[in-house]
Amino acid sequence: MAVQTILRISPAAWLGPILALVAMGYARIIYPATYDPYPLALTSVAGWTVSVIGPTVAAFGAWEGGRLHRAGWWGLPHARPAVVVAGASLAPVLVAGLGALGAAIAIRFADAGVLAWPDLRVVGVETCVVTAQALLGFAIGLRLRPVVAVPAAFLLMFTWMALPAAILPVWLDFPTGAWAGCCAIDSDLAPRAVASALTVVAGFLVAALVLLRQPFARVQFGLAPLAAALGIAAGLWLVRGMDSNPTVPRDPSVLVCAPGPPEVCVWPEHRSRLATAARVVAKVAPVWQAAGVPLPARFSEEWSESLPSSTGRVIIRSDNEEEIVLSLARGVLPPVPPCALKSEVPYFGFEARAYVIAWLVDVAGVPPERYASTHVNGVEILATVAAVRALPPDEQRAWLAGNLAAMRACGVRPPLEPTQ
Amino acid sequence: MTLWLRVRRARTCVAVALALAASLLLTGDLALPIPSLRVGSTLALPFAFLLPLAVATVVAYALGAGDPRAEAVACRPMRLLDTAYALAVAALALGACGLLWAADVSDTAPAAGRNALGYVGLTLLGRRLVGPHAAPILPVGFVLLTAMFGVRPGVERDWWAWPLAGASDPAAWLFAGALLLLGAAALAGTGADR
Repeated sequence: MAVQTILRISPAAWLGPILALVAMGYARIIYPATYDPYPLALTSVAGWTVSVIGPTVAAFGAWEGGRLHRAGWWGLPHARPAVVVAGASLAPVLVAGLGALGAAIAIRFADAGVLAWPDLRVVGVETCVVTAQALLGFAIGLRLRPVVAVPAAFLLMFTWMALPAAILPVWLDFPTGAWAGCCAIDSDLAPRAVASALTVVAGFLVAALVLLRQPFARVQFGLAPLAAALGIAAGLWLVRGMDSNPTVPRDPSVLVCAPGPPEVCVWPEHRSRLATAARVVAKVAPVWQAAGVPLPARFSEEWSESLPSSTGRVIIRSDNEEEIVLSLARGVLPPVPPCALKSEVPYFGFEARAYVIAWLVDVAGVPPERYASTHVNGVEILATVAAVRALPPDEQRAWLAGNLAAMRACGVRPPLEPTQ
Repeated sequence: MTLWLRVRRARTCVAVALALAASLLLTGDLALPIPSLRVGSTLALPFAFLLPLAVATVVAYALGAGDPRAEAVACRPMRLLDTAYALAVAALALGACGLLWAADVSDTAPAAGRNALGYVGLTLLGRRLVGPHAAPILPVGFVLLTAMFGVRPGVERDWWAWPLAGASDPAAWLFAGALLLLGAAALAGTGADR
């Protein structure tokens, strides 16, 4: 189809720029999973605009299909293959939809000041989602009158994209392919979420092909929703029981490290903070060691449900040395044991954490007020830390050991006050 | 008239108006997240405010279901009949929602019924403005527009964003009613579909 013809007859060509502007506005207002310059997180947030782009291209596609429906063209003998005709009709729709997606990704990266390639997995899935919804809209338009097909295609796709986000459990939303919760800097997109979204896409494509098939029988009106429903059901089955975000731990092989001991490892996006972090570690590690603090062999930003005890988990959020000390202090603490999430045996380690962190910060030479002031019981924490710091070194060690023991196991009460 | 009612898909229209009420019972207070560009975050749009779009769509479908060429030379006043028909379907939807409200089983039903009136009015206007095939795009587009731009920080909603108003807002009822009357006047004053 000639570009001039497309511009004359296609609503996708007229409304495409508006869709791109809306997508760009939308991409800017959604909170990302992280404010770090992590291309995956930026792409995912921009990709969330597919929840608006998808239904809109479905409506555009329905209009284009409706053109052929009104002409009665699809059922007539024709020289060109049906795929070519559908492709020519859908080309401006796909250009509008994918252009809007590209604009959303571009504005999100530009806002973050990141010059990098977007995550190709997310881009690929969103492209499939947009294409499938456009084709399904086209097929609906081909079989129903445009007066019904256009709003029906839009509302059905909009409901599919928005409804799962409005109900629990959270993983109901993952098969849509709109993953605003992906990903914090230490996490990666879950392959199950990708497979789930692609399964739904496959269901929609089969539904579209069922509707496009000639000769057309009424039973196809029943088979098409069945195919879409099966795709959705299979997609949901793939992500059933997942956590609140469609994520898995990020591959630790991409960490960049500074030698120790203790070694310090950060994600590539935090590379610029590594030198400062290593300097701070070199400064505070001997001080903590002298105070009897058991140090891990490695401070690392990696996240996993089964981190070895030799790794202290940290997040180096800034270049600020006091912030880094605070992060290291958190990394020194033992991880929360699995029993803490069950209610059978009480876990007292949570209340001990704030006291021990404040003490570690004070030992490292940073005023503990910086940390304690963020707590509701900051005054109590400061008073306790001052009392502990006034004790002889051996008693401080015993206080620390008692609190660390309470963090490692359930049912152990921490000796928060030094007199206890 | 029996044939005319069949051509105008009277059964489908009644079924959709009643299905609106049934859907309101099923969906309750469910709200869909939709981008509100002026607020700068997502807005929880009650599903009940979207459901009446089905009534507007089926009215547009019914009005376009006849044979325009035959209707153009009919002795009966087709456009007046169509106008009365559209008003009757809108009233039926409002009545069904009103029953839910009277039975105290749905808080959002009155607002949904009011929106059905306004959306049908917009659809009738749409027939005049963008043609019978694209008429329902007007209410669908308007709802999106109100969700995206009708709410500002510090302001519950702008005066023109009547579909987002609660049932107790008299101005929203006025808007919806005025749109229905305007749409009815536009339909009554048009010629046959082309």
